[in-house]
Amino acid sequence: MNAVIEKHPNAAILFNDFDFTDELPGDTSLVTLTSTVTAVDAGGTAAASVVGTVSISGMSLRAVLQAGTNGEDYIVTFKATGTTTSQVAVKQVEMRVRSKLTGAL
Amino acid sequence: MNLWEAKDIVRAHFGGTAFPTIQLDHALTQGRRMIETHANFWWMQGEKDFSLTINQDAYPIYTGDILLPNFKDARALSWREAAGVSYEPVALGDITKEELDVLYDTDDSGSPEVAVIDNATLYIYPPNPDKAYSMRLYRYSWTDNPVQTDDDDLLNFFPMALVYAALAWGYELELKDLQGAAYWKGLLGGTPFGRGGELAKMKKENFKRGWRDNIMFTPRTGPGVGSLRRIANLQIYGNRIS
Repeated sequence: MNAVIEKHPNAAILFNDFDFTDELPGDTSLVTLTSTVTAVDAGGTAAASVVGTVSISGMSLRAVLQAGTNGEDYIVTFKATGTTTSQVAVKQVEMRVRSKLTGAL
Repeated sequence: MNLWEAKDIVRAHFGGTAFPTIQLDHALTQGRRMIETHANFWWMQGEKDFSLTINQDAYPIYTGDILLPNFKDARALSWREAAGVSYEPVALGDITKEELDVLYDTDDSGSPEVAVIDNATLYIYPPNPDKAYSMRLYRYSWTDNPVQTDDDDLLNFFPMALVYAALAWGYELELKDLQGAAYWKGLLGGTPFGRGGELAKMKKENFKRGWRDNIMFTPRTGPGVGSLRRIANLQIYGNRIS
């Protein structure tokens, strides 16, 4: 896991921590069509509703992470494709949705 | 307590991110297995219906018509005619396969009288069923943890047992802290393991549930004289598995 965050079920936050410059050194931008952000819950079931607007800024792949069920741990997968090399890099964030935040991360 | 709450308690002892979630899931899975190894608890009970095949004596437990991949132990077996409404008992597990192979001829035919589970296969005697009888196997199965936002009887009534078991696993395999693991294992099962802690409470509750409505005989002489079947006797299940 590349990152772990804790989020309130009512919060919608812009997750902007994943820059792929180091993983895709031959590229300067990402392909919009094939750079995706997907999510599954702890049981492996797809959870598309927790991923909002996805955007690209240079080599950063960003997404709004939103909603979610209290108590659930979601694995959000950021898949980035380099424009020049077409190489693919993947990073994941574990998003723990809690109505009572522990603040212990 | 839902599974995620038990997870968060375990996490709190390791630090929020120090124990990778995939390892934590293993800890909770193995913790449940550690608990269920100790006894056949009430939440593990269930029954499975299947049909015999004419002239076939062997039925795999994990595959085929029975298909119980998490099978742990058998409680009872019964049969009825395919179109019948009343079940008849089959003696199960009282006699070994090697004895039954001697007692029955290989061409003996009829309705089920005796059965034995040998390794992972159920054998029916006489070995040539004359009809496709409907069978009902009462069994105990290993259980899985519920989904993250749900609970079950273990998590509902004895959640700390699962937490202690997961912590014992984690301290031993993740932190390599054997002294810490022994501490959590002590809270789970006392010393000797299984005679105290949460496990003793669970076994008492399990015994009470199984005891109700059963007629029991207490031996007053002979080698079984000391094994009184009472709630306070923590050796009810023996100490062979510890």
